Amino acid sequence: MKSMDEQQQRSPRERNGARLSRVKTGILVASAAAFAAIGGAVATGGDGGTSPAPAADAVPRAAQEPDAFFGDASQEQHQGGVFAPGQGTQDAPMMRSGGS
Amino acid sequence: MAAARLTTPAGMSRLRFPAMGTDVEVLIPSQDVGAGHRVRELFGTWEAALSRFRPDSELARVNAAGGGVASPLLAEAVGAALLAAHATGGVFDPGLAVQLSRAGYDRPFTEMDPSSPLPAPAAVRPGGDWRRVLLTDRRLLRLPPGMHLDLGGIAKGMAVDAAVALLRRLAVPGGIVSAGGDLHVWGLPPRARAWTVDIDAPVAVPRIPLRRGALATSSTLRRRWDTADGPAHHTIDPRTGRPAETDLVSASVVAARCAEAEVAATAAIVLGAEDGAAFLSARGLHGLLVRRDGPPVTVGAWPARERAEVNG
Repeated sequence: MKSMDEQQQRSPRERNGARLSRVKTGILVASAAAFAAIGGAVATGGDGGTSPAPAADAVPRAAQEPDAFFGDASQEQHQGGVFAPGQGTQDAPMMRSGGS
Repeated sequence: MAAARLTTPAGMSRLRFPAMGTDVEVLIPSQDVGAGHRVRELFGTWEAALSRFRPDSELARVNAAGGGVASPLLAEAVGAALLAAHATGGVFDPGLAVQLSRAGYDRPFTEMDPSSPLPAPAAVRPGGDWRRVLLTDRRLLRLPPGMHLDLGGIAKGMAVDAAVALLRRLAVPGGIVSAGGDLHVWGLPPRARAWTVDIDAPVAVPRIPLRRGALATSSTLRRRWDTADGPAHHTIDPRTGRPAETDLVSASVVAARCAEAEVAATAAIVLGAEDGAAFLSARGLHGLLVRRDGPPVTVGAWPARERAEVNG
């Protein structure tokens, strides 16, 4: 078991990756969110097709679900200054987003 | 609206090649072009494993068989897609390949004729079957009956992230990897404070100075075709199993990784402007939501001021 210091030294991205890795390897320390993401399949062998949650019910919960995917990597971005200071730029574009 | 010509900073080179159903661009220092060719190999590997349209791909075989023992790459992609589905409450749904095909997108988009209307889509069922996918620690993958996986968008984003990780391991100091406009930057361009990126949108939006992270744009104006029931596009609403009826024409999201940005942009399109903005804000993501009517909505620290010269 890693010490608190060791855990704190890991970047958010590393923690996110570790979380996914735990899901893939099925170790039971996976977070509740990650565990639920695969419907309990890793630990239980799966429900084999019983009672899927209706998609229509799933959507309104979107803002409240725990984040195993986005995790705190987004916070890393938020704190790090993802955009250069100021507003939009008139410098020539180097790449385009959304072209296909 | 005419697009501005892209500029390649002095000392850098731009590689272009088709992969994963789109155009890949790699902007890196000229002395590292050799490393850039490794990116082409990487995308080739990802496409061979994860293409929905190549009958010899591992994904196609798994879809046809209802499962199998997945390669590490397929297991990684499916695992990430299931996490993404959960993290969006099912708004992002990797199990909609059948619905997408029935909407008309049943072949590579380059082989479709968007001007020739397709028959009205056949009856479809909503999504949500991703909750019944089985993926074990030994990479045994089992799909619920009748469900096929479509990893297109998230796989593209993951491949971009993997390409950036590869280039960083090869000590390439900075650049951009883009797959169809879903991109990831690292380092900084020579003598510049940020990477400048145009957002492809039907209205005037700011050109952004991106310093780190990834940017993805999802649009209902691209990969669009006509049917007897009216226009259709490639973003399926899992609640209906049909192309999303949304007040957004595009959603651009900046996140730490391209896969995150791509999933969030897709979710925003499905949710629409109001719920999409709340979704992004709750996750600390930055976004630009372009509505069919009305001014664009910005979320987080997205540069808000419109520049004088917009999209060329």
